[in-house]
Amino acid sequence: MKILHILRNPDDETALKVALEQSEKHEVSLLFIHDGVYSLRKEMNYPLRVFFCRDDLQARGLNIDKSLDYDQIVDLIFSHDRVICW
Amino acid sequence: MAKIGILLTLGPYQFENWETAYHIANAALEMKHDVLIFYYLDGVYNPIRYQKFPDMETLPKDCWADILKKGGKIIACGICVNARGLENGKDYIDQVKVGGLPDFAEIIGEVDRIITL
Repeated sequence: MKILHILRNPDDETALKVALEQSEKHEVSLLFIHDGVYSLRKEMNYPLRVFFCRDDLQARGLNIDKSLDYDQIVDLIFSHDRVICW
Repeated sequence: MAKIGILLTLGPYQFENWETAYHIANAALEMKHDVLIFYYLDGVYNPIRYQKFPDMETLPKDCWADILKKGGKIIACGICVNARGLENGKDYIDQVKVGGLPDFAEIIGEVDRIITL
């Protein structure tokens, strides 16, 4: 199963623990939005696919090449079987 | 074409949840998906027609009017509306329906994906 976690807090340890636990049996992705995009500054060695909301990065003076616009976020949501917002 | 549900529990200005909800709803509608939105708790402050804010050209209520114009459906929780003195949404923009949690239950059953903001 494909599971998407949408995170608003860059320090949401519970969400990350759940996602990591699920990743042993499922294909898990993280989408960071709002202040969650500050996790860009943290070193992440998760076996998960990680995405960032472009608008929320830019609003905070951050940028990466592979950020997602809202069309891509809608596609990401529909391409996963389960979506969880934290 | 698929259906997305959005539960919005926070009001405008203080939080950015409404903006994310609007942008996702707008993108989904442009991509020909169906969009069903439920305003809950302080989310019911979003569609008040008399909003004003200096130097802000597009107000939250204008964004929601745009979503409705594009075919999105919006329901507000009636208990939340009246708990905040909004009198059954008498000052809401057109086409926002005041309903109840059973409507949200229907939305959950109807949509392919739901996000909570």
